[in-house]
Amino acid sequence: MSLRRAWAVPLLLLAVAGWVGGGTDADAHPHVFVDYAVLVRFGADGVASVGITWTFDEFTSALILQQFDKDRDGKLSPDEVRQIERGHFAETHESQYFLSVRLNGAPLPIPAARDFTARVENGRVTYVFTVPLAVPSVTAGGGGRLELLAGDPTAYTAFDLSPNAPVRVEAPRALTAGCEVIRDPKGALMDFVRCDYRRGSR
Amino acid sequence: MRRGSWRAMVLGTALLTVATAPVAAQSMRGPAGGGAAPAEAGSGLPVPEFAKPLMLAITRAQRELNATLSREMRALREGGSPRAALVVAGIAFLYGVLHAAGPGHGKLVISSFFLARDTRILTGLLAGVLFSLLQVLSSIALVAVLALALEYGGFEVLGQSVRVELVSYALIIAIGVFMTAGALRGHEGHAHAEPLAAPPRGRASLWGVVTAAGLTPCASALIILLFAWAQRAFALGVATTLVMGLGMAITVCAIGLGAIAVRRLILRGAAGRPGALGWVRRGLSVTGALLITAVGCLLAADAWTRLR
Repeated sequence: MSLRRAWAVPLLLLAVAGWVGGGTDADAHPHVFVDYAVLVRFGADGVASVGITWTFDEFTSALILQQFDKDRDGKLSPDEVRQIERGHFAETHESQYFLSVRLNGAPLPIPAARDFTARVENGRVTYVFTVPLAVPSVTAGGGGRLELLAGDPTAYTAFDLSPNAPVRVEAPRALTAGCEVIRDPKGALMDFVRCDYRRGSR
Repeated sequence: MRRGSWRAMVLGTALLTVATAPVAAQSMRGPAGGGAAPAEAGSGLPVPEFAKPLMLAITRAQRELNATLSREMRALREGGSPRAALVVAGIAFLYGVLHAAGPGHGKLVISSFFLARDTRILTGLLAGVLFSLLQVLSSIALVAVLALALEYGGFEVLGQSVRVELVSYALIIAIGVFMTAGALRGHEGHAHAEPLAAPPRGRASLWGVVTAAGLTPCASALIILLFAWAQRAFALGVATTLVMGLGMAITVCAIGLGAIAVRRLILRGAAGRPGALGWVRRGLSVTGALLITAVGCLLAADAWTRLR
């Protein structure tokens, strides 16, 4: 009997975990996988804008191309790019382009993106766009901190920082800025980008 | 109502509250999307705290498998060797196992049924396999009709699949309500004196539940099928998703068996106490039926928000 009881505990836990995990979100499997990269552009007064690159998995890319590459040449013409912007990209503004940005600790609202473009490489579609974040962002101390990550709360789309060059920085000479990818050693949190900057050259 | 019914209802409500509390907490919090602080944005994923590293790990594994699967499918399409076919099959199978391990849909409905009714192990396994394959078949049918025959675009097919989902969820709710009513009246399988009369009713609703839940097209299967179709290799997509369905069946069966075991353990515990067995049985039956109804409602509400 004690042996049977020993089985009971893990079984119960497993079942409860199944229900809890299963019940928490109706549609929480990722179906779209995006590798994203960030280009943080600084001006003299701090952060000016962030350039975002989304590279879709091949399955999603095939869907996008099937719908928007009307001439089936495997490339995206300027007109096709406009159609993608209107028909696929624009709606992600509702979700703030899946971005969470924190400036000196405070969450920033995400304005409309500009300079959208799209391209295809090796069967994968890449979207490139810029989110202007032109707010005064240098603190009294002459520095600041920007934190950023992309994530879909519904988990339909799984964002992950790109394995190649996930973060790049452009800064004027009057500002020193450095960005890095912060990874949770326990693997419980999503990776995110952190930039520290201050007035003055190196 | 007799006293047993009240006890059953109290037990049912208590169990249901425990089971759905995280869901309620989540929906009150809402999606923690935009304003979430980056360092905490991992908590924007609607997953309980303890499951988070696991969920991220599953997502990462799925990302790897997804990339490998598309690459190997393309390679197979461009000049297939038997080895490449085996690789695709292996990955599709693993993808299915992992995909079904993520939170979501029908397996919850089916395991709730196993909680409500006595189910033989073999029947449970069969139900898990049938349910998984039905989901894939439903996806194949949807793509065949909409994309191949009616020439819908890929995104339109995904959009239309929500309608099929709604039908599936409505059926689940109907079955759940029907079972709840039956359970409250005391018709809940062989709880009482007529063990011979009850099983057919139980089995009939099991296959009803399996069919209703299996009607839901599986979005991952849809995406694989649409990918194959875009590469002019629909048959490859069909084969891949069927293998994936078998992989899903492994996980669904494991969770289903867990539910069957939980029911048996609870009943065994109750059997030791005189007079308890009746109302515990009734309580399980009410709980399972209410869970089916509740999950159906949650799924329908979620699908409704995705309907355009």
